[in-house]
Amino acid sequence: MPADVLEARGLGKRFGGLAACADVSLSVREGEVHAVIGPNGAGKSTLINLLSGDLRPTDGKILLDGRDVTVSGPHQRCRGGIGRSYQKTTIFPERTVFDNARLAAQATRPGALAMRCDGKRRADVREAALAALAEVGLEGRADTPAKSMSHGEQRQLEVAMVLATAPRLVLLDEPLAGMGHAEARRMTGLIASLKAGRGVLLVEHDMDAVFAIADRLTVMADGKVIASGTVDAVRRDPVVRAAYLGEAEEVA
Amino acid sequence: MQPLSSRTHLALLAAAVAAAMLPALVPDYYVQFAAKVLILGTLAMALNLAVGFGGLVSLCHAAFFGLAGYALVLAAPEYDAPSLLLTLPLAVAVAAAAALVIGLLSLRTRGVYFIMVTLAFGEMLFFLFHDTPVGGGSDGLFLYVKPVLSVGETVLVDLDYPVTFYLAALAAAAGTWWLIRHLLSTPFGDALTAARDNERRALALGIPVFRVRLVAFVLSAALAGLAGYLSAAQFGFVAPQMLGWHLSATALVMVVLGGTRRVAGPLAGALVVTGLEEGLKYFIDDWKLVYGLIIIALVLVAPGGLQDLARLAGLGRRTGTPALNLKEANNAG
Amino acid sequence: MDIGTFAIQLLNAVQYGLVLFLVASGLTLVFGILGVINLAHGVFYMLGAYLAWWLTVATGNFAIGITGAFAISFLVGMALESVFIRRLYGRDHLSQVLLSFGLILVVDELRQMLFGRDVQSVPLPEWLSGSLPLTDVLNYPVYRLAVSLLCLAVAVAIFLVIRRTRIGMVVRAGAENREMTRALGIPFDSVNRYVFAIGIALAALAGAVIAPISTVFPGMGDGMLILSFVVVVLGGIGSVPGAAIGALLIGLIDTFGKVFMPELAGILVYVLMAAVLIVRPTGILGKREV
Repeated sequence: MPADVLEARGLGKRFGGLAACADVSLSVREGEVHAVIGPNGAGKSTLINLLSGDLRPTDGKILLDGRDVTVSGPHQRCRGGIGRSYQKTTIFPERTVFDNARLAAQATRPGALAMRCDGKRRADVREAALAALAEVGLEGRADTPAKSMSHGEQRQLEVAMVLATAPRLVLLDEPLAGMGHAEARRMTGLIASLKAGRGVLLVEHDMDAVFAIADRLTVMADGKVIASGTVDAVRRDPVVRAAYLGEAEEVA
Repeated sequence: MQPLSSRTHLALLAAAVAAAMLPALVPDYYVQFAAKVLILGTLAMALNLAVGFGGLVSLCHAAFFGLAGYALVLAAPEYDAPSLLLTLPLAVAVAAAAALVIGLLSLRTRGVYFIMVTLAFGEMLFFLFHDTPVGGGSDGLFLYVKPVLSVGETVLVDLDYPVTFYLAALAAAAGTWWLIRHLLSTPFGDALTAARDNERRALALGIPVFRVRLVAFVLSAALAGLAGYLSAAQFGFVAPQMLGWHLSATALVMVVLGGTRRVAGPLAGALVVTGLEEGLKYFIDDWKLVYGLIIIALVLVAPGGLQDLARLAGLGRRTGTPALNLKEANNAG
Repeated sequence: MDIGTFAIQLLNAVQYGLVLFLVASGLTLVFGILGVINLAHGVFYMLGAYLAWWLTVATGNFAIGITGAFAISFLVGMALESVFIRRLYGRDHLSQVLLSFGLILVVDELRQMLFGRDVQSVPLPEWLSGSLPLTDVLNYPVYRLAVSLLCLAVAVAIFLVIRRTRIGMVVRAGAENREMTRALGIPFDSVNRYVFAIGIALAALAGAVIAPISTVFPGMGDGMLILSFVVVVLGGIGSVPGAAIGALLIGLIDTFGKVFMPELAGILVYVLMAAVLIVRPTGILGKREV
């Protein structure tokens, strides 16, 4: 069995008296897509923010490739190998597609903050940026200003930026939100291809997509994990059926 | 930042030669005025490293400017020429050290908090010199002999000569321009502007935003210190007003007038603001009224500064630049 | 320090804190609701003091001086909002800083043209100039007590408006989440105008009531502006209760600082601000980061 890229143990986050996340344990292995589903307010976004370092957990532990990263901030987690996309596309809209990817590739390589060399002349950064753009299928758009691309393309670009940081684990927060059918299909294919050599944790509402690409599923409700396992096992779980899947399938 | 084309190189060279020749062409008064513009331009360019490129609207840069000026006067022997080689690094280091402490505290905040906190810390330094006897209190201190650079007995540079002083100010402005321009082309500059444009994404890409901003803030303060050192040397006098926030705000006017996205823009802003001040003072008694109204009009009519004004006047390119699109470092909060 | 002196210092501290609250609450309201950072706030504190002096001397009636300063500043605030400030809504902070800096220069120069640059003092009427015996040997000036009571009354009025009225609802929402308030839309344009005018008038009122116990001089607004910024940073932007806490804290620290370590008193408030920034960068009652 492949090793765990990420392991969360007993993760919890309280805002004042409110527990947005409590006692969440899960793992993501290399080569798998692990999807987290649940109704709105179940704590999925909080979980992803805890894993990426945007929020600091009040309880529990986070291990990345066996190293404890619980107290490190988002930039340290990124350098440790966690890359993420946001629910609301988070890119540099004023810059070109290539420049977006270049910044991402440069930021995690040695000399990321160098003050002597010219940033645009680094061959290794350039290659990594172009490779990341190729992986998401944006190699032809390198010179386009990011803001003039479609919503779907901007999301692809965000994924390319994550890939350019050479992550071990990719966190995707509702990557299909707001996409049309064709765009969503392309993105689903892209997500499925990301798991080669990496772990992917996916938070998504689109159940068709989740069932199509997830290897394992974790179901959350009220900040807690109510079921976890292979897709088939979770689908058969009576608690899940009652609490969530039935109504979600109606909606979908 | 685009690399300079050979035509731009030529234009720059011509400008440099013209600037260096200035003392031979115009009367002394204008040489002194030009030196003042270059010094304030250096301050404004330094400030813009934080404001325009770092997204950090600082209202305490006059404090760094003034601290360095005081450092020169306090370190100078009373009746001897202070050594340029000793006092300049000292003054710049004092400004940088103050910026390190203030930056460590104020960079924990964002947006409007940052403005208020920097203003408060800047005024703390102002009151330190205004209310305590360290720097002669509200009367300020005189520098009786200007700094010199000498090797053994030979004096190589004596800032007492107006032409020498002017050339030193020119070198400081050119050096500041080059340094900031260079910095923006490096990975560090990329990280700084990335953090300005989208702090959340910058962090998620592994950029240590706090550290990057702190370094930029300290560098910007050090360059403001360079300007303050020269200013103290030019007038042979320092007073608490040199640290006061009105000067910080005036430098911000220069920055906005010149354009926040251009390295040399604030230098042009400094020329216009200083020229305007001198002109208004000469012709109008209540000049501050007019000056204030001009600043208000600038914000309302031409927020993009001189480029907007040129466009309003029908000059310049049709495409132009968008109105002031300065984005502050508050998009993570 | 014996108990009597302590009581007097405590009263002074509270009085200072209450005056500071008047100024800072205006600043924080304008920021919380209009989203505008107004550096010209302090200059209206100065203007209030000069107006009070001018009106008191001209009419011989101190009450007219105070109410006139408040009323005139209110009208000036209404005019300024409709001509300049409204164009700043939604603009970046840098534009707001610059415009209000320009406003400072204009108001300051107008003050010079109207009232000159001399230091002035405001005479107190007979009935306010006495002292109350506190102990056998210690007295407390009636006027200082009156200032505290007036400020307290205004503070209570502000809190009532915020708790009980529709405008107050917007104020509270604005302190919680300014973006949201802006997205929902503020009920009417005139609310903005009133809020700005009240903010300015509160600063002017503070300057007017302080005029008889301090001196009236051109630069008096600058120091007040900085202190009210510190108050707002301490309390949390947009939070009126936060401003009250911050103002009283500064009143206490400054007053007792001057008693116990006079040479460090000027620095103490900034040390306090630095400490709060380390522990809670968004202020004591400020919104935590999301």
